Amino acid sequence: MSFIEFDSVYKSYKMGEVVINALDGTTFEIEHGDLAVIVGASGSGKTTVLNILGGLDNCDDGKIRVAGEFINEYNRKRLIEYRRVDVGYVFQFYNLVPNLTALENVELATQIASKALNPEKVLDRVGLGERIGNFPSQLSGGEQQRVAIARAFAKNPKILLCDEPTGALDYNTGKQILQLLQDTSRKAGMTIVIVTHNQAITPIANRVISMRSGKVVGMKVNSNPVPVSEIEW
Amino acid sequence: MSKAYFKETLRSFKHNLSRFLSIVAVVILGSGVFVGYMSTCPDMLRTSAEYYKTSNLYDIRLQSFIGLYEGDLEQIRQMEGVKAVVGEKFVDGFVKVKGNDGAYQGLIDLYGSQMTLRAFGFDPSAAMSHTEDGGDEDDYINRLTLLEGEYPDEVGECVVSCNKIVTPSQFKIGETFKLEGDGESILYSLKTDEFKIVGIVMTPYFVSFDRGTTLAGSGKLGDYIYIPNDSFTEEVNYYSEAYITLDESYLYGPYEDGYNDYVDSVAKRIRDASGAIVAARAVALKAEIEPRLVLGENEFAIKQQEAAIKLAQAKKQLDDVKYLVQNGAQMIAQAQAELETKYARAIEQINNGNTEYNAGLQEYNINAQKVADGQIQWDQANEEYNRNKELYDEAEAQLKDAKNQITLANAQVVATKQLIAATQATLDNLRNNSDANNSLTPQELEQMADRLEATNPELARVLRTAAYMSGAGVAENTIAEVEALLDRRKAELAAEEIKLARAQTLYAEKETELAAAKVKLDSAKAELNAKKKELEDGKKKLEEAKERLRQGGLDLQMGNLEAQTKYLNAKAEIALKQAQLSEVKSKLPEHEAQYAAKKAEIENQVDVARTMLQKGKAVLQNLGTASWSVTTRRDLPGYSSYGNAAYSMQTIALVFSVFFYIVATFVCLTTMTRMVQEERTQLGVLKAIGYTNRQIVSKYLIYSAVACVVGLALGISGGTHLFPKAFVIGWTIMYEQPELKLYSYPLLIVIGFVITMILTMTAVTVACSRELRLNTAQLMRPKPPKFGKRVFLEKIGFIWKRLGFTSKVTIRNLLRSKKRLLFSVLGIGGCTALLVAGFGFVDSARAVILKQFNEDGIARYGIQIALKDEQAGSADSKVVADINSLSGIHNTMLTHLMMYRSSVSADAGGSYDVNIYVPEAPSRMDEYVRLIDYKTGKLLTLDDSGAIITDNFAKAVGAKVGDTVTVSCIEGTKEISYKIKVAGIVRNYTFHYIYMTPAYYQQLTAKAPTFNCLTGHISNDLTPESRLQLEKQINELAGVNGSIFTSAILDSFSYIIKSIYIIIAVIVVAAAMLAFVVLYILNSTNINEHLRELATLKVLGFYDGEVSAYIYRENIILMFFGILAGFGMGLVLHKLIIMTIIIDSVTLGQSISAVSYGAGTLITLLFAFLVNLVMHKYLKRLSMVESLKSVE
Repeated sequence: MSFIEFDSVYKSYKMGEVVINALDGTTFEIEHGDLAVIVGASGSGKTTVLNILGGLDNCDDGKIRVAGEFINEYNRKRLIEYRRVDVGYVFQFYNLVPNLTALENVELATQIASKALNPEKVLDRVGLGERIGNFPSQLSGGEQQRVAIARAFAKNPKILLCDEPTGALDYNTGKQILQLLQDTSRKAGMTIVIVTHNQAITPIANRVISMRSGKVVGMKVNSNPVPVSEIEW
Repeated sequence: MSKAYFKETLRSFKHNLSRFLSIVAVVILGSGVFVGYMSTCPDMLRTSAEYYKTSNLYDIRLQSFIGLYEGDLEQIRQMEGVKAVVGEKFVDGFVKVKGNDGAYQGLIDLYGSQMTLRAFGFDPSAAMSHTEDGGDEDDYINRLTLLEGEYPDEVGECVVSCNKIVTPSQFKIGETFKLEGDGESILYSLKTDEFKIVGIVMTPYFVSFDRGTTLAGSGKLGDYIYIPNDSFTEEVNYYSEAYITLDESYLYGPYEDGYNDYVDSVAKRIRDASGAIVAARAVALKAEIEPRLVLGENEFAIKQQEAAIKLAQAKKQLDDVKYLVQNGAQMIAQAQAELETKYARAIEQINNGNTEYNAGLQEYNINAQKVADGQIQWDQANEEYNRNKELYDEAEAQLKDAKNQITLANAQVVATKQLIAATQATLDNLRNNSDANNSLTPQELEQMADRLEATNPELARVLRTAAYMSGAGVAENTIAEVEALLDRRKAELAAEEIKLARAQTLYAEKETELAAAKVKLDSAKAELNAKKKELEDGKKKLEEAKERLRQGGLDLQMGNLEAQTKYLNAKAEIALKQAQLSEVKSKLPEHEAQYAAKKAEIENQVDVARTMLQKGKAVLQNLGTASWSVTTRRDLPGYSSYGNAAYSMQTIALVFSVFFYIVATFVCLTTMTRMVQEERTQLGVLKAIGYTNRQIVSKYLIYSAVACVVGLALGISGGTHLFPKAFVIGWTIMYEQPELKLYSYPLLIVIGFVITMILTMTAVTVACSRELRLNTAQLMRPKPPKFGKRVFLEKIGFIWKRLGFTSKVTIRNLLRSKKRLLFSVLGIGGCTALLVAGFGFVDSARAVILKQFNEDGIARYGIQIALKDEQAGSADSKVVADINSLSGIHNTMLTHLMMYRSSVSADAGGSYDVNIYVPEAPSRMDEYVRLIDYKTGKLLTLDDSGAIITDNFAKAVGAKVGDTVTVSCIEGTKEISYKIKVAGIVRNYTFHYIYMTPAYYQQLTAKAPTFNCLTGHISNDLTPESRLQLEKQINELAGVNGSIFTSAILDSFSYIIKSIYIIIAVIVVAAAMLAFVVLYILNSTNINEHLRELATLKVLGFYDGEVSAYIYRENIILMFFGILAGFGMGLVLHKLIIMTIIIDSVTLGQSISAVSYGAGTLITLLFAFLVNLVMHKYLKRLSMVESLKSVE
């Protein structure tokens, strides 16, 4: 039994009269401690996978298993718990609370998660030890994303989900972020799922899932993931 | 605008529906309030103008102390500008209605004095032609409107008013009442003093419950009635007042300055001309009256004498009957008593007889018992006898038996002896024969046997045997046998002889037995006979006793019957006598009534004569100083205040409209700003494509314009129909006007339209311009998140550290946008303010009742009693003592209460009625009327240095402490003024009062005050029935004219206050709706600004409640400050309303109660709660995915 299992998952959206099949029988597995990358073009359904995995959305059909539990069976309340304790989410556009400092943004998450880590220490870990008192508007994009990662990580979740984490960042900063994620996956043994349309990132992962039109078209296991410093795009 | 963009514009309506509706809602409210409230005043004015026109209300009124005559009026008719001049007769008097027991008693009006009524004369046929055919006669001025019933046909019928506040409740169609003159006979002026109500009317002369003044009673007129002109006697050959209508008065609105100026100019001309007319009239009158007066005096003296004699006669008649009644009763009582004694005695006797009878009966019963016993004994004896007889009979039988036995035994002995003899003979025979060897042959033996067969068969047999056996030796055998037989027979004989002996012994025994039995039998018989005799004796005696008893019983019955019959007869006789007496007695009231009627008639005649003299003298006195009083409508009570009421509506309308419009604009601004901000990327794109700013903005202008137009249409039509009518419901309680007609005011609509559109369009433009100032690229980028800023509170370390961090977020959020903070606080504050002001107004209205008419309030007395004549008003008079002795009353004080007019008035043309109140014991004033300084709230005491006036009066006439106010009244025929020094001003809520000590009064008027009124306290524990009883008792006292409980006054005022509630309700409801809309918009704006944050929180796993709480916290703080601000604003608004709405006779309280603040807060919080509830549901449903969508 894998750590994360997607089994014939279907999800469609109704926009007026139009029905969009976002996921059309998606099936894949991710093992514990993997740094998994889900890659695909726009509209392939990869963001939908992440949303469902993160408990932000429900599927129409199929089973999703995380750490041995079927999260598709969760009711509303249980989903909130799930998001609270088991999931850390990182967005493309950071989504920090602008009125809170970096530390407070992380505290926002730790104060509700039962087995959270110390926010200051986590910020230190991501390299923002000196900047904990700054507001997001006083931080650069990369720094903001690091705060977001810290926020997700400080919860001490089972899985860390990242939706185009480098999408809004320049090349170097993006690499820094990816490095951080890779380190976190290796050193902390955290299961991380990154969703991106950038094929060039895939070598850093130990599992690459390719998606097209709502289906998984390829799943590759990298026994030797490449360190971030060596990839170019 | 391009077609595509136009399509987009149309679609945006559906897309932003709730926004659209919010704008529509506030526009409805704003424009509805503006146009609706503003329409009220003109509607009220126009309706009344219409009414005054169709009812031909006078323009100028003439009054004269010496009366107006047709000749005088003719001169006025000729003057230029005058359309019609009509004279009016009226007479004032006290009204008396039928009480529960059928007797007439006086009424007390609201002011605490005896109620007066004015009977106006009118022409019923003219009234009918106006009412039914719409006739428009110039000469029918102050036309009546018939509300119910019909106009009077004949003298003695009348029509009355139906004002809820002052008209007596006894005035219903079909009821009768009486009028009584004040110090004069009303029959001098009217042909009858008793009136039957046949209809109910409304007159434009009296538009409010204030009926003006009169010379009768305390000076305040209670109500009016209309009677046919024929009801006046010939003595009333003059007019009490005259009405003038002018040619051009209807060119002006009645409450405008143009009208006032026009009328004043004509009035001046009339006034100038009046001098000559009056002088001429005075001369004419003098010539007429003087001689009549002399005659009158003589006649009067004669009439008085005659009257006295007639009265004495009538009285004697009555006394006779009375005497009879009294004595008759006595006699009957006596006869009754005698009868009773006799009867008692008879009954006693009967009872005695009864007792005897009963004793006899008892004895009889005892004897009967004895007889029964005797019977038993006899029976027993009989039995004994029978038994003995039986025994005897048996003994006899036995004796007989024994005798028989003897006989038998004897017979047998004899027989046996015979046999023996025979046998012996035979034997001898045989023996003889044997010897002779002459033995007997068998044939001889057989012959012998045959011979013996009958008597001695045995021997026969033996012989036969022997015969048979004849042979040798037979003979011996035979002899032996016969010897044996003989022996046998001899033995038999012996036995039989023994038997015989025994039988004889037995017989002897039996004989003895028999003898004994006989003895017993005889004694038994004797006993039996004895008993029989006894029994028979006893029976006989019993019969006798029975007979005696029966006789006795019969006698008793007879006796009883006799006694009863006699009694009943006697009783019937007495009853008859009684009935006869009762008849006489019952006829006594008739006699008394006849006497009273006769007395009244006689006295009336005297009164009429006296009145004629009085009046004549009065007129004569006034001739020297006579003048006309020429007044306009402004002197009509209630006329001006109605105008003021209408104008006050104007002020309120303005204030509230401004308020509502400000809020509406704010809402528009916020809403449109948000809409534009949401669509900023689209704006950027359009700009990039090449649309001009103007083209882009046009979409939003169209959007909001449509919303405005829809809102305006609904608001204006709704407002013009709803609000004026709603307000007027309140005013109708106090004013008698026809039903409000609604007019449309195009100008107002246009102004409302224009204002709304301008405000809205400006808001839209402002909203758009902010965004459009940015360049295209900036627009197309997502809005940069707001800067996080440190707030000043963070500098205060020890507070900041303590705060939970969600509180930190909240505070930072709040202070991030000062503008938004201000708007929110003001928005909430505004709504609370409206509510608080509204409720506060309710408090002000209630204060009138609570603070005035209360044991702890200002008017602390429970009852006011009007005393009949002023002599009664001294502390030791009988009527005061009587009143004090009633159980429901404790504590009374005499007062002098008289109505005056103040001639210094705040607005020209108006004047105020004020009561001068003089307590007999100023030191006890506080027990009845509390004097509290209107500024400091301290207790004031009356002293001789000056008068204390009430604050509402002071404000009306503009007086301060130390000033002098002038009041005037009509005394007799002159107008007298007094200058009164103001020593203090006190708080008061109803009417106007000037309080002074008797000494100051004396100083002022050079007379001692006459105490015509008694105020008192009543017991707290009076039930409604005992209260009625008390009222009845008081009213029946000879010196009392009438009474009024404070609770009754309270009821009337409650009525007025109700009208205020209605006006307030209209305002509060509109305010509440506005509050709701504002709160909703504030909240949704708030949420939308934080949408991304809220979605993030959801993603982070915040519970629904925690997510909502993120917003709640801000709301709570905003609420708190908003409500506080609202208190402040509400206070100001409240003061404004109080100053604007002026109600006759009532001063509104100044303060707002804690309850009102509480209510305002609660309702605001309730709405906030509801809105939060809606918001919570919305947040729950918020899709994280949608909200956090990256800009791809």
